[in-house]
Amino acid sequence: MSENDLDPAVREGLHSLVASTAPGADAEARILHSVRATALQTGSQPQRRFFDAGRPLWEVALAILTAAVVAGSVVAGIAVLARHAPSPAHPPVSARATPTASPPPTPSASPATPSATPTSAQWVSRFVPLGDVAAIVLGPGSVYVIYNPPIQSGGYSPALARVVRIDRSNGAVEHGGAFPGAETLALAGGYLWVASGPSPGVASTDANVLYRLNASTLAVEQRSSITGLAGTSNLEPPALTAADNLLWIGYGPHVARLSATTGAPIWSRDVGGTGSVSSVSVDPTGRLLYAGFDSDRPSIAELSAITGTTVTESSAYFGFDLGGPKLAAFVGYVWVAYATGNDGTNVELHAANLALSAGGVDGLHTNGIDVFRGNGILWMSDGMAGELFCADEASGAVRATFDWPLGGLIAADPSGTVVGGFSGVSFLRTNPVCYS
Amino acid sequence: MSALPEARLSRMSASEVEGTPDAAVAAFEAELAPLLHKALGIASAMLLDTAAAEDAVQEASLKAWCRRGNRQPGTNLRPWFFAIVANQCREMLRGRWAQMIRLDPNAAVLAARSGHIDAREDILDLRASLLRLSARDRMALVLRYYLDLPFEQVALIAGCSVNAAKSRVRRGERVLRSALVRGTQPR
Repeated sequence: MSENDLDPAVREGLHSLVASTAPGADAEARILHSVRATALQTGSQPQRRFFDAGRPLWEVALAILTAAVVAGSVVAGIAVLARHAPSPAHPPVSARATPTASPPPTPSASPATPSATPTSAQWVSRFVPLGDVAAIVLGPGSVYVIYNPPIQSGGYSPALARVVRIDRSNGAVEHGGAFPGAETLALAGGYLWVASGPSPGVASTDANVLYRLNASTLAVEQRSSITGLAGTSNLEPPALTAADNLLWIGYGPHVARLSATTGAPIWSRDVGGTGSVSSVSVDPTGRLLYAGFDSDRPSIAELSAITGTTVTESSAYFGFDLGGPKLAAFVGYVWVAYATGNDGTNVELHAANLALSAGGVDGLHTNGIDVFRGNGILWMSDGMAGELFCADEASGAVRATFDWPLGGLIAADPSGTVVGGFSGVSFLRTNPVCYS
Repeated sequence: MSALPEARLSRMSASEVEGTPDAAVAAFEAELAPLLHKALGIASAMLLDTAAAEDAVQEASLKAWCRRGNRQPGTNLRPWFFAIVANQCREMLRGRWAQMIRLDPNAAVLAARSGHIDAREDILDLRASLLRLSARDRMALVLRYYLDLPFEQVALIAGCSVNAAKSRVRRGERVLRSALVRGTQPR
C-alpha cells in the first residue's frame, strides 16, 4: 500500500462509527433554522476582513479615522454620563410626572389575588398562588416559574426552590420538582434551562448546577456544573437569557454563550474583573448582549452576542455595590436600573457607546427598582414603592402605573403579561394604555 | 429574569411565512444544506458525541455566515466550510470547558456494554481508540479518511506541513488498526 492509499478497514471502521454517532436529518433542519434566524438578524452584509485585498485603500483609511472618532466619542459619552449621573437629590422628571392610567378602585374585583391591591385588581385575570417567585419566562403556551414556597417560620428559602409550568390557557400547574438554589431560567433550543447558585441552606452538590429540562414534562434530562464560571468572590446568582436557539449565562465575572443543546460553553469571557454579573439582556435582534456587573464600581459591558467580543463598556456611576445594574435591552439602547443607597434610579443608555441618552433619566425611584423588556415596551417594577409601570420604550415616559405591593418580575409577549410576585403568579389583562 | 425574544421571533416568522427571506440568506442556505450531512459526520468522528457534533456544526455554520466575506468569490463552499467545521471541533476539544459534559470514554463503553446504549462492540473499540488520539491527530485522520482529502488539503486545514499531516494520519491509522485487530479476536 503506497502512502497515498487508504486502508480499507480503517476507512470502513471510521464510516461505521460516524454512521452510529452522527445526528439525524432533524439536526440539519435545526442548524439551517438557526443559521437563517441569525442571518436575518445580522443582515445580508458579511463581516469583511479589515485589510481585505478587494477593499479600497480609502475605505480602510476611512475605517481607521472612524474608529478614532468613535473612540473619542466613547470617552466623551462616558464623561457626559458621569457628569449627569443621578444623585439622591435628583429631582423628579417628566416621566414620573406623566399622568398615569391606573385603573379605578374595584375592591371586590378579585379577592383571590393577594399580589394585587384593589386599585390594580381589575387587571388581574388569574392568580396562581405558589410562593415567592424568583424567575419567570414565557413560552408559547406556558409560563415557567421558579418559586420558593413559604416556610413555617415565615419567609422563603431558596434551598426549597421549585420549578413549575403553568398552562396559559387554563392556569393548570405542572410541578417539576425541587431545584435547590435555582435562581434563573430560560427557554432555548426547545429546552427549559435552569441554573442554581450557592444560596444558604443549599448543599454544595446542588449549587452551581445548570439543568436541561424537557419543556413539556419538566423532566431533568441533563445536569452539568457551572462552578467554573462562578469566580472566587461571587456576589450574585447566575443569570440566563435566551433568544430562539441561542443561550447565554452571566455568572461570577464571566459571561458565556452556551450551547442550547448541551449547555456546554461555546465561548466565555471574563469581563467582570473582581465583580460578578448582576444581569444579562440580549437585544431583540439577538446581536448584542449586555451584562451588568456588581462590584465596588458597578459597570456595564456590551458584547457581540454571537462571538462574545466586547464592543464597549462603561464604568460610569451605576450605584454602589448594591446588587448591581439591572438591564433591559432594546434595539439601539438599553435601560438600566440600579440602587443608589438612597433612591434607586433608571437611565437609558445608547447602545453603540453606552452614553447616557439626553433626557433619558427617570429619577426618584427606590432601591427596589428593576427593568424588563416585555412585548416590545419597557416595564419597571419598584418593589419598595409597591408599583409596576409600563412605559414608552424609547423615552421611558410612564404610560400606566399598577399598585403592586413589593413589586414583581414582569414578562410579557403578544399573548399577555405575567407578573411574578411574592406570593404567586398573576396574569394581567392587556391595558391598552400601555401600548398606546 | 430572562429577556424574551418575542419581537424578533414574530418578525422572523412573518418573513418565513411570506416566503421573502433575504436573497443572500437563501443563497447561502442552498449552498450549505447539502454539506451539512457530511459536516455532521466530520464533527461526530472528531467529537464522538452526537449533541456536541450538532453544536459544532451549528457554530461553524454561523461562523461561515458571518465570515463569508472572507471566502474567495466564485470558490466552492465545501472545502472552506469543512475547514471551519474541523477547526471548530478542534477548538471544542481543546477548550477548557470540553470536560464539563463529555462522558468519560470508559464509562461510555461500560454503559454501552451493560446495555444502556445500543452499540456494536467493534464501534465501541474504535470509539475508545479515537478518544486516545490527540485532537490534531484525530482531525487529520478524519479529514483524510472520512472526507478523502489529499494530504495537501489536510495540511492546509490542519495548519501544518504535508509531512506533519502524513505522520498524524499514520499515527491515527495505527491506533485504529490495532483496535480493529482487537475487534476480530475472540473475547
